[in-house]
Amino acid sequence: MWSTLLRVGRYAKRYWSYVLLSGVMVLTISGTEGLSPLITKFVIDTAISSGDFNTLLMFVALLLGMAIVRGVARFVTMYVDSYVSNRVGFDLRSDLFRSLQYQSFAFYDKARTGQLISRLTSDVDEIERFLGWMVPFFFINLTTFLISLVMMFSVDFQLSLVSLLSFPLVLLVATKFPSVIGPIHDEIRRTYGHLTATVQENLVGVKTVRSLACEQKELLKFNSVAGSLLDLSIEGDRLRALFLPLMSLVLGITTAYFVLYGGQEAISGRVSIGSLVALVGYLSMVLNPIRMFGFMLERSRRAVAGATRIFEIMGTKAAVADRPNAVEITGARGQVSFEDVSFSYAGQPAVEKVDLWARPGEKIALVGRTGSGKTTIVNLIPRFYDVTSGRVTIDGTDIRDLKVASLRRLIGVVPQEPFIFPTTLRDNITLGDRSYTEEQVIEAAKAARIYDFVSSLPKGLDTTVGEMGVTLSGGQRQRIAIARAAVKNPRIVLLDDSTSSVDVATEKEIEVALGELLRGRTTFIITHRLATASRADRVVMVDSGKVAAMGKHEDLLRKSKAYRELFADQIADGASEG
Amino acid sequence: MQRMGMWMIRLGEDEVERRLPDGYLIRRMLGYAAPYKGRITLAVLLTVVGAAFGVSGPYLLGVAINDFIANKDVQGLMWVSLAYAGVVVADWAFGSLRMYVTAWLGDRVVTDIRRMMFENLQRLSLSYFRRRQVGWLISRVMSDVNTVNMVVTSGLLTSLNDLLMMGAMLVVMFVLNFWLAVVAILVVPLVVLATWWFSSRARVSFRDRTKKMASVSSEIEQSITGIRVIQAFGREREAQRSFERVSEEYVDASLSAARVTSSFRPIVEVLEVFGTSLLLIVGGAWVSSGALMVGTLVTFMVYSSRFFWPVREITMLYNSLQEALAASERILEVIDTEPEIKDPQGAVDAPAEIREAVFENVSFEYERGTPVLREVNLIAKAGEAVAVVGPTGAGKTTLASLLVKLYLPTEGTIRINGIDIARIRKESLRRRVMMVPQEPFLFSGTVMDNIRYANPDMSEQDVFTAAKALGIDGRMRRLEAGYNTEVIEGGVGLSTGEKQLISIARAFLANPSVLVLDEAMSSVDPDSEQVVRSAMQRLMKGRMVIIIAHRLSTVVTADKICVIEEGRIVQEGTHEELLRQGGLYRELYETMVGAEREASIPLAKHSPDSAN
Repeated sequence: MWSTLLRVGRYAKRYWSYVLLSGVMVLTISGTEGLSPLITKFVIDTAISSGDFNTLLMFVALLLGMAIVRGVARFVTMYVDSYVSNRVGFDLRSDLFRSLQYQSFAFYDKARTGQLISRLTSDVDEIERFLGWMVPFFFINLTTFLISLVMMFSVDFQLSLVSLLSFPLVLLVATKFPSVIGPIHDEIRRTYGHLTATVQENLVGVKTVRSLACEQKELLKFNSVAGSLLDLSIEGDRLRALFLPLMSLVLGITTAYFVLYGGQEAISGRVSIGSLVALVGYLSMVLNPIRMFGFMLERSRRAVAGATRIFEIMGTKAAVADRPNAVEITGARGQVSFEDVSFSYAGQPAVEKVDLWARPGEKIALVGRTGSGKTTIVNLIPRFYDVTSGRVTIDGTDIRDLKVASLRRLIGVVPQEPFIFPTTLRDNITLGDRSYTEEQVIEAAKAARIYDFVSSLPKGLDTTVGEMGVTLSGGQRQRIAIARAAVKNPRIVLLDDSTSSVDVATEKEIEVALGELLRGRTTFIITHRLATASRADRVVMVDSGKVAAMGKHEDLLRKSKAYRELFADQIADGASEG
Repeated sequence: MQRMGMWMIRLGEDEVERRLPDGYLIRRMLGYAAPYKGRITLAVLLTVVGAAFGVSGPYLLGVAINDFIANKDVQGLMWVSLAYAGVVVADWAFGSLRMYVTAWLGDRVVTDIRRMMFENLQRLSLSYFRRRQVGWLISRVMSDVNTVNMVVTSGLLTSLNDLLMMGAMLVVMFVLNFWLAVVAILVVPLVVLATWWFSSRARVSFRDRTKKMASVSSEIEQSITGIRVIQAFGREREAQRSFERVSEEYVDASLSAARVTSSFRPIVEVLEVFGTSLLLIVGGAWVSSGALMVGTLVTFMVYSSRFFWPVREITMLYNSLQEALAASERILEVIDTEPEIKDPQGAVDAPAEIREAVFENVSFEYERGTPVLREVNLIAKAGEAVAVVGPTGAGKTTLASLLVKLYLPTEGTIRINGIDIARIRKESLRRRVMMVPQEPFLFSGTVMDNIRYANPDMSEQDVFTAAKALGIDGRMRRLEAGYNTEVIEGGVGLSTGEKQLISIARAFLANPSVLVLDEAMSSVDPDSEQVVRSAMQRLMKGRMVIIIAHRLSTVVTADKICVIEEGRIVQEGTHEELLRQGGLYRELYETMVGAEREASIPLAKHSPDSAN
């Protein structure tokens, strides 16, 4: 816990002058606050009883003056604190975001998007609140407590001593409460998240829910989660109602005792009425910070938990990173070789002893059943994952000796399910890279056979996807992804050939588009289609992460029974037309 | 959940002109609290009594000073201290109970409202969801309901308490000393004014801040969901830059909001001390002259210190109330929307055995004026496999959706065994006619849970048997944890093909009379598709299968193929018949086969003639 706090503290250290300023202001606030009851005492005892109006005015002016000073101090500290916390929040967010940018695919395979998002939003918010509000609050309370305690004892030692009796009681309740309510709060938060997820799932899958006619089942699911949220909330209500008013009770009882004991002292003349009034004032100023203590503890616990999660991600070393002496690769010819490559994923061998190569400009087709490891093999080339043993080379250099950025610059990837950003078509093609000229973008769009569609839109390339009902069909998304790869002018193209969600005519278009993209470039193409495989320079048949057969399409057709089986129905289609 | 009174943050939500009158909204929302009338009465009673006790404390303090300390009456002092303690205990007991009852009420009503919303969402037709985003609906069900709860329980009920306290304090003050009471409340209008002014300014700046936060969130979401693209194209640095830009904008907005809030509290505080100062000067002078007793002045001072907080809270309540009303309107919109497709009076259950499904002159449009289907006529019989093919956007999916009453035909009738499906209860229809939608959707839980989702009574053994029969058992066992693989976020980590196989198995296990496959195997590799298809042929024997596909290899064996183009059925017949006919089908077929044949020449037994 302390090391986490310290690390958060280091973020704040950059703004130390602000922190210092805020500290001075905090002292001003609690100092003026701590003096007020004492002045009230003088007003009652000295000014009023003596009947000297000028003295009265003087004391009241002092009171008001201190309030104004306090007001200014409070404004400064509040603003400065939000400045520091917002800056630290910004720094934390940026650092976390950066470390997320460089985490490897393996990290994202395991991570849940929603959780990563809440690391960057609610966890950072919690830390911001902690720094901007909790920490100053803690110090104001601490200094007010100390100053008031000293003042209280200086007003009347004996009575103050009596009031000490209530401290442990308040402290006990204040610290006990968070440990009782804390777990329930956590549970409530978790259940609330669960309920949100339940609603979300139901809404995202609405078509499936309707098709399966399982609305009743969904309702039961919802009711059961909502029911446990209700139970937990009511349990939380019960505890809060039980504990929170207890503190006022202790404060009230102590005040009653003050009235009795202090009143007797006042009657005997040992204590003035002004002192009595001041003491009642000090009592709440001393007890309040104690009662806030538990609450502060709970919030700090939450902030520390958030910070721990954030630092955990920052501490995760990117699985794929530049070696210290990595070199830039430029002007590559595009010769790719796998030399005895194995790759294990989550302890399971996913690729085993693969040897294959592509000469510059060659097209290699990878075929095999879903889950056989085709995509995994291809993912090793841009180092989305690093090999476990063996090596992948480009132009003879182990790719792990290259700078990742320069390696990936060489390679154009067209995935099976292209991700489209909710931004303009232009930015979707260039991914925000302004160094491409208009001609290059149009060229790429034309090559990908998406330009006709783009120019049919009133805003052309500047149309925002999703805006004004402009949505993209599966085929269009794929062609955008092809344009995205084409504009890079890559030496090597990796292509997960999926024409699953498009009709024959679109498929034809995509094929033409791909033809242009692939001309002259080294290509690895994952395909289910016989026609595509037949056009490759070499076909690699993958089975359970191993190369089951490799060779030219015609040879495999002749020699490999497994290969023929894989394409049995497509072969039959073509042949049955005789 | 968050009861720390951070309403200001919530004030940033987008505000739209409200259409329903305030009175109506309040009445409706109160209606949801009506079942708890007893508790509400209790809460109000507790509040009233609690306020009386709350006011008594400072009064007794004054009495102690004026009547007993001043008169050196120890006996009386004892009694008054005891009374003070009694008031404190009673205040505690009532306060504690009130807290519990109001929170209890809030939580109950929240749960009820959420349930009603969710229930109605289950009834609503797909057309409703076409027009709304999931995130939008989620915030209706989750955060809008919270807003209403927060405003009602910690806002309205607490304010009632505050108001009563203030009323009681005013009464006591005016009774004790009329003019001093006037002095004590002199600054109240100033506090109200300041609060009013600040809260409306805060509203604006917090709205801006919330908007900026939303862009930060969406930037985060985009870059995390799109991280693979960003990395593959080496755009990390740009993503970082763009993120820092919106993040910086958020900090700016946040700081300008901080300027408003930071100045609010100090100013109110100074006003309060100003009020106390007036009290001290006037009261002090009167005490000196003997016109007022010290104890009374002390009572006034304690009261005035307790007076301002409620004034602030109540002033701010107006804004939160507006917020709650806006949220209420959105909540009611979800609860009140009637499903477009309702079961009519006297609706019947779907026949257990479906012999025939008929489309008679069916036309359909999602939006007026843009027909998606035009006068479709189609007959499918039990024991048949009917395929629907055609280019993207031709209306194939719509055709399937109409058969299971996801939408109602704009014109024409669909009959099952001669009964108009408009007269069949939709739930029973969908149990008999099961559609597997194009995008496979998996529920959270295990793969096993998903396969038996529509049929939870099935034993694991039954699932294994069925999966074996379908030819996917091996595939399921090869998943990371086999059938026990956890599905997260709709199936991250499973390939689309695997998800499709699971959703086919899920529909199949519901044992429907008609199975509608809407491109349901588009991402399954041909090899597995072949296996599942022939298993299906065997298992669905005597039942009806409707296949929507663009991969023609999938449909050649169908008993009947309907070719659909621009919403019309343009050709109908078996594969051979259609090829002989020529037209669109043959065109589509040749485009596909042309390439494939070229590839498979070495295997061809005889030279093809139909293509040329």
